[in-house]
Amino acid sequence: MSDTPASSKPDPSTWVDEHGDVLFRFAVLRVKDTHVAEDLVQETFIAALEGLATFRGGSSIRTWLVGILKHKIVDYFRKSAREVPSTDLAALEEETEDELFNRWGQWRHLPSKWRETPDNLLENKEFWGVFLRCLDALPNSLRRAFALREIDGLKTDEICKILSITATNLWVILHRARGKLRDCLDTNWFREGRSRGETRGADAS
Amino acid sequence: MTCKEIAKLLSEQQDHKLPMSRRIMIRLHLAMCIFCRRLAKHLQFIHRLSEAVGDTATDSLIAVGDVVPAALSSEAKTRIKKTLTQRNI
Repeated sequence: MSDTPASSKPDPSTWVDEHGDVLFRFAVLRVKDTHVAEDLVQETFIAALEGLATFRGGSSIRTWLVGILKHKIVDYFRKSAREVPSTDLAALEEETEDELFNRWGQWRHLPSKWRETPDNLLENKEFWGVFLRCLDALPNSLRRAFALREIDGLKTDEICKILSITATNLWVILHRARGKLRDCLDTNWFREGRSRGETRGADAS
Repeated sequence: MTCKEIAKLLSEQQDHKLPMSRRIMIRLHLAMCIFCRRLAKHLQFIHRLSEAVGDTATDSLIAVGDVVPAALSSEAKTRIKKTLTQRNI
């Protein structure tokens, strides 16, 4: 974290080196597409440059930049939700089978016992690899809602507005996203020979 | 209620407050069903870890992932710097 005082002359070229990668990872995790992520990072820097006078120095430059980027990402979601109406939403609700259960309502895979605690896994780089791969395997329609809700902790009504969907739709989408992610983690980490094991099946899930 | 219905409610209760009747149904079901108990635990697990992903302090861990590109490409950096320099004159 760098705490550049607001009074010092901004040097955008150092911003890119100091904060570019962090902002880029933040963006790509949420929007998936690397080109979109690059554009959002650039837009963030431009907005920061133009709005530098509003930076109060209460927080670090990085926190401030991340805040701007968050808005840019939400704007991007909002815009693409308007451009591409989610046609599969109706189908989504009618579906009789899902990630967890078959059409007869039976478990596809009985949930296994997860022995580790989240706190134990926070420091486990190998686990993060699996987690991100599973997150990456979510289709965009599920991933966006999931990211806004679970990663960024937005309220559900805010998310509905951003993605232009109803609350009922959102609940179904989140249920499916969590189901997929659960299944992927169960298969690739908890039930596998884990840690040293391959992360097979993550892409196909 | 079936496990499938309970599973849906377990997810939904993370997003909105369920009526008391539903909450009681979940409770009764969980008392008898080990698989739904596990599922409930898994959902909390995912919630906790996703929160950590949002926390920029975890960023250094995520940076090692081979899934998410860890850094801006040098072309992108050069391009962004150029754009910013033009704007900053």
